[in-house]
This record gives sequence, structure tokens and C-alpha cells, in this order.
Amino acid sequence: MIQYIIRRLLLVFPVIIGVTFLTFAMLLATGDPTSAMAGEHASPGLRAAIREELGLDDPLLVQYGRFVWRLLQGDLGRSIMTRSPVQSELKLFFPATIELAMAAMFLAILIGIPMGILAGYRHNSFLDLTTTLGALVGVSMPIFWLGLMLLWFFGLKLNWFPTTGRIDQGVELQTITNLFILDSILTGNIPALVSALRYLALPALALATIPTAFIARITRSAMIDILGMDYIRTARAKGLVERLVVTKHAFKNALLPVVTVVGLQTGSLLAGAILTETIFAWPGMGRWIVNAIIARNFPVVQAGVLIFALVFIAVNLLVDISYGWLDPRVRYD
Amino acid sequence: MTNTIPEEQTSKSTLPQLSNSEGITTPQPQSPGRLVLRRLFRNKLAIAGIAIIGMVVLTAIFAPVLAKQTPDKNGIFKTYLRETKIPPSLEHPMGTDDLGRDMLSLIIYGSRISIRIGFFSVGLAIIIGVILGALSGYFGGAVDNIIMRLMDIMLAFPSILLALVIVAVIGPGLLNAMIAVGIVSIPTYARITRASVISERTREYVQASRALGANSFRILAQHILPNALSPIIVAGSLGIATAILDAAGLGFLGLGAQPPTPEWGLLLSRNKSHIFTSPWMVVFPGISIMFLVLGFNLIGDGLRDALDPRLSNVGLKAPKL
Repeated sequence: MIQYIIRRLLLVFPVIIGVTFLTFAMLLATGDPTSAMAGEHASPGLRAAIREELGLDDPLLVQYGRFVWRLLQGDLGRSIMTRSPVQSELKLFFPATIELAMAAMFLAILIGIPMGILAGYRHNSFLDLTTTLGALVGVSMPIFWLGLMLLWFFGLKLNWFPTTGRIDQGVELQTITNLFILDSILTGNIPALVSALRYLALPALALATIPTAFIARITRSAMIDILGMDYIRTARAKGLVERLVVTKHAFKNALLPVVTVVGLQTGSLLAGAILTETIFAWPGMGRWIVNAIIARNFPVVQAGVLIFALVFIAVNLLVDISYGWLDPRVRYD
Repeated sequence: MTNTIPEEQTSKSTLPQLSNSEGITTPQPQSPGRLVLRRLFRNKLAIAGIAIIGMVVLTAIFAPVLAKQTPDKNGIFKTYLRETKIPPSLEHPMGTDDLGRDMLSLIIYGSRISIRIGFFSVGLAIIIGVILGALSGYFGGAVDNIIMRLMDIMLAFPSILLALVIVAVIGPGLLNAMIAVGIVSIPTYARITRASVISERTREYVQASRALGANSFRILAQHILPNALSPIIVAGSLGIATAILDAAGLGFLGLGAQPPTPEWGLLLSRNKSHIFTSPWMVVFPGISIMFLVLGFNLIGDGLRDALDPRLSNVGLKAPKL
């Protein structure tokens, strides 16, 4: 097992180097940053000073080396717009996205797995058909449209949930991790918890659609496969209660593909967050990156993209490792 | 086998060339392609998908006939400021927008863009992906390593994020969005192609044709690549669905199609502030995207089941081979 983990880790290194190089190169490809910083009509002297300060006249590899060195020290550069260090902005926006993504994944597992089990158990029933079709519609739905519909119906029409932001302006919350739910639980702040949950509900629901659909689909087909196995027939033949056959014998073995899909979907949740956050004005990484792209604020784009990619790589690595742990055969491939 | 008769009946309507010898009890030898088509046409969901795509393609082709309002030669729709925000009615089945333009007409013309996005992006991805995958699988060694590590790096980014970054670098716009969405899906096709090339490369028939003096290009193009065709077709039709969604997302963020293009994502984005007063302006573009994407997903699923009957669990039994 340890050997397997080490092998997977070694494979990740070239990818990380590639990813950092790509994000580094992105900044170069976007043209002269001096005009974005000092304006179109900046004097040549000022431009030269900025180029000097940023070391833009050095050879490419030297610049890349400096970029990586700075990264290793946790320095992600400065936002062109606010002139503040990118990592201080990141500290606010990253937890917001993580909170949203985790809430969405929680919902997706909570809805998707039971739906998939039932649909797989009652294969070809009406319930199965609706689940299959529902899952297909779910993956075909533009998430930004669904978000708008939820916002319109539950936010504006029924007025059940607030539509934009993370928490009521009036609520006091001492932030520790910047994960508002966790912070309000840690400080025992009930009003803040209620407020944060109400704000989280709609964006999390919108973001959960696609993973719910994928999880339901994969759980269903894994259940169908496994319920047809001989050992299930044996379990039934020996008179085991049906509930135990399904939960203990079948579902446990159906879990493997489900875990994979949960992991892979966690990665794509980050991508979905880009659109969801824009609609609900959720102050997270996605909205931050999009706004930075529109404003051509490339240090922010670069840092945001890099963080997203690294999280994505880490999640995929965890999926691979858990796969090797759940199914030992994988290790010897 | 007696189960050939119902098969005959079901395939009659869709594949008439199979039914010219009625009442036969022994199945004729069939090409794998025909078998796949036959399985596909027995899958109700896949037929629904084909119907959806057919409808949208016809709509796109006959847009000038179907649409009540047509754009001028610069692609700009006339505005009717006295007829703004009319709710859906017989005259305007999808209502009108804040400029009095008929939503249905905009959506009809938008279908042309979405179809183009889907086929262009996936076409681009398949061409580049197949070339890279074939080189990688056939030559192996350093070439393989470089290409595949590059693909790994691309896969390390969530797809829409990479597309966003590419658009950020090359600039917003419909064509650039299509290119970005295409580039992002190259690794899928490169990997598929590489896998089939590797599994076929050492087969005897390949050695035989090499012994007969065929060069690498001929071996690849004529003997090896056809084996990769079916997984690529499946990935391609599912890929079109993703491409349309991603491009609409880019349009929604203002980084894809630009006004006055009636691209569905862009329509959604420009109408979103009217959602409370005139929801139809937002509802219909979204439904259109979902409808078309669903069509490609249904066909993709159907093709996958048809090409690999073991995976089929849509409630029909695969024919015995």
C-alpha cells in the first residue's frame, strides 16, 4: 500500500511542475502588465521602473524560478486592482468556496445515494425510470440557469431564502476559519448559524444538482450489477432479511464506484462554483477569478487558477489512493 | 433462434435494407455497424435523443422560415419598443424581451450558434486529440511521455476553468470560446485513441501489412484508427453536450459570444435582471440549452449501450451474437 501511495505521489510531481509553469506562462501570454498597472498612457520611465520591480526583463527560466520560489514561500503576488497581497484576499474567498462545495457534496450524497439504491433495487420500475430520466436532465441542465430559477422562485417569489451574499449584515460572527458554518458552531453562535445556513441553501442546492445526478446514476448501476451476483442469491437463499441483503451485502460492495464518483465530482464542484458564485454573489474563489478575468487582473487569475488546479490534483490523488485501499487489485496494475 | 422475427419487425421501420428477405429464420451476417445501429434504434431514450437533435438541426436550418422576426445582414434584430416584455401569447409563444424582440425568433436563431459550437469544438478536439493520441500510442517512448504528460497537465484543471483561462488569454468572443472549449477536451480523445492504438499495434494483421510494405501513416490511418472509432463517437456525442454547456457558461459570464448574437447563454445573462418582472425572458433560453444538451446526452448514452451491450441496463436485452 505504501509503495502504491509513493508511486502515485511521484506521478503527481511532473503534473504540478507543469501546472505551475502553465499558470506562470499564462501571465506572460497576456501581454504587458505595465499598462494594466500604470494605465495606457504611462511614461516609459514608469513602465521601465515597473518592469524592473517585477523583473520582467530577466530570462524566462529565471522568472519561472523566482515565481516558484515565491510560491513556496506562500507569496502569490499582488492584486493589480487593490495592490494588496493576493493571499490575504484568498484567505477570505477560499473558505467560502470550500464551504459551498462541501455543502453541495453533502446534499448530493444525501439525495443521490438513497435515490440510486432504490432505483437499482427496483430496476425497471417507475421509480427507476424517473430517477434515470431525472439524472439525465440533471446533467443536461445549465447550472447558471438552475441557479437563476431557484433564486427567482425560492428567493424572490416565495421569499424563503436570501438571494445574495453569505450572511446577514447585522449578524455578528467571530471568524476563526472563515467557514461561517463551522465558526458559528465553534463559537456557539446560533443566530449566525441560522443566517449562514439560510444563505447557503440556494447556492448549495444549485451546485448539488450535477453531482447528485452522477452519484444517483453510478449508485444505481452498481446496485444493479451487484444485486445480480451469486452471493446475493446465496444471502437471500439462506433467509437473510431483505433489508440486510440490500444494505450490508449489496450496497457495501457497490460503494467502490460511488466513492470514485464522489471524489471526481468534488473536483468538478470547484468548476461549478465559478458559475454558481457569480449568480448568487457568493464571495468565493469562482466569482473572484471571473471578476479578475473581466478586469484583466492577472495576478489574481493566476493565483486562483493555480489554487483550483492544486486542489483538483489533490482530490484526484486522494481518489486514486482510496481506490487502491478499497480494491487491492488496483495496486498491482 | 426464433427471436429473429420480432427483431425484423422492430428494425423494419428504421433500417429497411434489413427487411428485404421477410420471414427468414437465420439471421444474415451483419456488419458490426449495422448491429450497433439496430441496437441504438431499439433504445427508446436514444430515439428521443435523435428526435431532439433532429428537431433542433431542422430548426437551425429553416430558421428564416420559422422565425417571425429575422435579423438583418449584420445579425441585428429590429427592436419594437412598443411591444416590450409581452408575456407568452399566441403571437409571441415565448414572449418578447425588453427591446420588444420576439424571444422565440431569438432562440430559433440561437440554435444555429449552439449547434455550431457543439460540432466545431468537438471536431477540433477530435482532430487534434486523435493525431496526438495516435502519435503517442504508435511511437511510444519519449513522444508518448511528452504528449501524455501534457494531457495530464491539462486534465489537472477543471474543464471550464481551463476554458476560462484560455479565453482570458486569447480574448473573449464566440470563436475564441469555441476554440477554448475544444482545446479543453483534447485529452479525452488523445487518451482514447492512444489506448486503442496500443492494443492494436502489436496485432498480427498490423505486422502483416507492415511486411507488405505499408508505411506507418497507412497502417495507422487504415488499420489501427478505425478501431478507435466507436469509443470516439461515444465520447464525441457526450462531448458535444458538455461543449454546448461550457460555451453557454462562457457566454453567460460575458466571455463567450458577444451581443448582439442571440447565443442562449448570452441571452440568459443579458435577461437575468428582468427575471422578477418577466421570467419568460430567462426561462426559455435555459430550457433550450437543456433540451439540446439532453438530446446529445441521450444519444451518447444510447450509443455507448449499443456499442457495449454488457453495459446496457435500459431495460432491453442485447441481441445474441
